[in-house]
Amino acid sequence: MQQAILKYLLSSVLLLVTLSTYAQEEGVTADSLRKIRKPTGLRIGTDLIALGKTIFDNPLTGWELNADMDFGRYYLAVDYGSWSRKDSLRNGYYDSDGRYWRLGVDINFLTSDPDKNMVFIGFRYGHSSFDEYLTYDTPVDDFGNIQTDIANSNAKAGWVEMTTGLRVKIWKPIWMGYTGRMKLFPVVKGSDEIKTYEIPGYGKTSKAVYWGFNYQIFYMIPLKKQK
Amino acid sequence: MRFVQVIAFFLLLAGCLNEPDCIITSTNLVKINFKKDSKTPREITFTKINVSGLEKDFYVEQKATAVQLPVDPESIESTFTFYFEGRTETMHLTYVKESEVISVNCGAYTNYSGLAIPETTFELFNITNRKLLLNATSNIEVFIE
Repeated sequence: MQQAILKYLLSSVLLLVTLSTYAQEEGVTADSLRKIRKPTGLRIGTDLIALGKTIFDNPLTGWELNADMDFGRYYLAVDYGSWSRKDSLRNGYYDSDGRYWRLGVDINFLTSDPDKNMVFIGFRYGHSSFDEYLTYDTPVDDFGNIQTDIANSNAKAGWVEMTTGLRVKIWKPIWMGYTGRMKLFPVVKGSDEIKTYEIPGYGKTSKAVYWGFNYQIFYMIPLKKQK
Repeated sequence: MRFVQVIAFFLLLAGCLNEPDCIITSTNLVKINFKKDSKTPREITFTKINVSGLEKDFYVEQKATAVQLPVDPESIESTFTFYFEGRTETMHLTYVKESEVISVNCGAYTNYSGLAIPETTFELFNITNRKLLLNATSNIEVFIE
């Protein structure tokens, strides 16, 4: 466990070093976007990895919508998604289905880029509402084979995320990018009879730190004319 | 700097590839140690022990200082009845069950915890571990002269 925590910390530090060095290499000295300003556009996108998993990874189906709006170098970011897993276990079956949202802020390190490309770090608060169902058989000495059926309906969960990533203007209103997420401190409110296996939007609860990755495509709706 | 980026990327991947260990330590067996005092075991010659929900008798005509008895996996309470040395003693147990999926390959299992003794005819007892685990040395200590 300690090794894993050390590994996560080390990778986080290396990522931050990489980001800050990248920003310095770009020669970011201008402060044109450093102040909080009126938004110039609303970017709406979707996660291509979630769509790919839905097509190619049978147990998991889902989609995710992403949106952000610029306030100078600060971006208000909102995500909304659906996540469903139907998985056969070694001794049973697990089913979960839920919706989730995330809300947070990204800070752009490329403060003088005229295209407003982004190298960013940020944070999110995530919230999920979901149902899960578990059925399994266990052989128990003297009692025989015991079948257990458990449902956890209307469960809620919350967590926090540290994010980092890129946004690059590909063509006119089209943007692409990725978001790496370090998800932390999941808290579940639900049935005491089942330990939640997977939180939609977070991932498996057995991991104290869970990594997520989105590869996204965006469409920018301008809110005011660019000079 | 490109080297640092590559290293960071692979460390990230390594974090993603950790799978939980397929080790199940949970059990439905309660371990009861019989003692004269906190340090001295008490050997008991059992006539038999009954467990609620089971026809089978346990420890029939056996000597032991400790016993392992199963709680009912389909209930949240069980009663043990001990027949020994011309005495009959009962112990009513309650517990909490929690189902957990380890992984797709390891499957699901049941955790037993929150062990309590709301009723017993034994005069002196001590709950030493409220979780039922394979590697636990004792869950309950019963003191008998």
